[in-house]
Amino acid sequence: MTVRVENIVKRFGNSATAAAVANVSFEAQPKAITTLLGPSGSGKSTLLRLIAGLETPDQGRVFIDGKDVTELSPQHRNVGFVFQSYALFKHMTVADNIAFGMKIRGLPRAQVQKRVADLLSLVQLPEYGARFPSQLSGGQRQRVALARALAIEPKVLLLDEPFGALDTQVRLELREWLISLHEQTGITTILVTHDQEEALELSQHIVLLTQGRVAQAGSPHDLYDHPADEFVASFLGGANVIKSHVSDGEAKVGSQSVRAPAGAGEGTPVQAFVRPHNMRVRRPNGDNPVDLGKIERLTRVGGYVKVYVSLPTGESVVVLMSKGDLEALHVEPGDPVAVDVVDAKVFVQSYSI
Amino acid sequence: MSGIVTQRAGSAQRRDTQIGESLWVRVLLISAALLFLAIFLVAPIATVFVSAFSKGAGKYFAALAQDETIDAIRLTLLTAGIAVPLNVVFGIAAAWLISKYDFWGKSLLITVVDLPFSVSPVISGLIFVLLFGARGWFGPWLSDHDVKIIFAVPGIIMATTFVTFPLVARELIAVMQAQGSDEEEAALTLGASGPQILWRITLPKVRWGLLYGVILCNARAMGEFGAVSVVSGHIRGLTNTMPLQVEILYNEYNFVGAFAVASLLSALALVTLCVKKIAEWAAVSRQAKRDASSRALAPPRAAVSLEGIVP
Repeated sequence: MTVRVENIVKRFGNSATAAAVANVSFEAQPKAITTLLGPSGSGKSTLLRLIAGLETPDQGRVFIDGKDVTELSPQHRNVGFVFQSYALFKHMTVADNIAFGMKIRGLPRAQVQKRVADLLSLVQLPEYGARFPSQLSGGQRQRVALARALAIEPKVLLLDEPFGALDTQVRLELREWLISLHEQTGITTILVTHDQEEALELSQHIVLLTQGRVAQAGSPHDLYDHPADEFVASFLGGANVIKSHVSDGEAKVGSQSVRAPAGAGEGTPVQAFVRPHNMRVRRPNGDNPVDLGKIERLTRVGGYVKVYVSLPTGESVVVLMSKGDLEALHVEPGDPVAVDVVDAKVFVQSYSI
Repeated sequence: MSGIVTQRAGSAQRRDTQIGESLWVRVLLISAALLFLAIFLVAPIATVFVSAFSKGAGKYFAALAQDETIDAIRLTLLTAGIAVPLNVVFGIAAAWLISKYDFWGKSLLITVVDLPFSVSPVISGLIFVLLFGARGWFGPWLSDHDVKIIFAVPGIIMATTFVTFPLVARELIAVMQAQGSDEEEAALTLGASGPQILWRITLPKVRWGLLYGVILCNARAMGEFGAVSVVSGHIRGLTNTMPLQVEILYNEYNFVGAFAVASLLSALALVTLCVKKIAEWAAVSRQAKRDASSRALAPPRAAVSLEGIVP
């Protein structure tokens, strides 16, 4: 079932305040996981709540499965909503929590019991039906919340930072598990997260939001490889920003020159976005000394090393190299190095920065 | 006001704190506290019961069996029986409104809810006399239609309801605001209607706070003197509640009678405190039992690897 949002505007407080969601349109494809990604305050959670009907838009329409549900109460939208805080009913057992939506719908008792048992095994908590939420770990609670949302056979599953309150280990496990759960259920899912890694790993489609508007929407590869603007490039992948200017249709980045954006005239200031793993340091080899940088610091991260290099332009960049590659260079902090750029995305520098 | 909440959190895992005070400081502080309690709490309550039974149990029960006293007890029960349910309904409505919605004038409403606490009970009674008394705003209309409010039972019930209004509302506002609306929103997305959410989610969630509010409200409703005194008119056998009856009997030098009725009110206070304590204890022990069983049962965290899910 598709979810389509058209020109949604939502303001909190009076009309003078900036809109939390400013004219957003996007479409979530059926049977896919779509991620609403963005920094805090980008309006992603508000957008999800608007789709669920927990907020009413000031303008715009929401369509679920082709039907305009803008005026429909959340009670009748038949969406599964999972909160970051789990929002389990604390006074009910796990089984009663999962059964809640079905009991409200007046399903026969036997059918409810069967489905609760099925869902408990789906979320791998078959023995936990009689427990209370307070007796479960955070990861278990969130799985119960998912089971409860799935129990009503929703048209669409909406997840609001579902793993935000969990520790890293559990978060990674649940991420894996969510992928497999989605493969089994095939339910159209919209996920809100501020974690770019989560978005890149989980989703088929990413809608990247900033300040209440869509910065870019597309597949994870699209956004990662072809960022539409500086915000997208810097938000996804933690790119280094290197300032430069156009000379002979090229811009100097590190020890190399890359092609300048089309239409940028001679001398135009540009910014290059280079991901840490798209750079290499090497020992100087006939380079012009004015192009060389200096190693500031080396930080080991597992099998990788983060090399902090100060460029001759005064900028500081992070280069990510494998431990073996770096050891072969025999460099130490303070050594002059050349910085090669494997891949860079160059934008004409905006004057607001 | 939200004692039950903090109590529950605090006493689940009680730890002995090591306060490095020397022995004599501790003895001094503890005896000061005990002395204070003895003078201001134990002695007065003991006096009530000693005086009530000073002429023997027979006189005590005879004093309670007087028609006027029985009427006073009956009126007090009737008043509390109407005022408390009214305040439960008002309290839930006000707390729901204040904790679930943002609207213009919300802080004003919160202040108004507190008004009966900040106004002297005598003034609270006078308000009703000024509104419904013979020379009050609605007085002429009421007497034309032969409705008696002041110096009658309706006035007593209204004054009592007014004075005890904040007890349920304040308790619920604190609990509901602390708990947030996530569970209600979840129930809404699961298809529950407003009344279903109130009945199945919100009320069970706040039930201990509600019970606490009801207990306090009931105690105050039965014990209220000032406001009721102003609107009652002290008509024996008709508009005398228990506290008013105590005053009348006392002024007539009928000490056994006065203290007998007073002993009932004191007993009510003690029972109220016991019920409250039991309610708290039940909440705490239930929580402790859950914690203990989850520790005892805690299985290894269910594996969340892909094995076993994918057929």
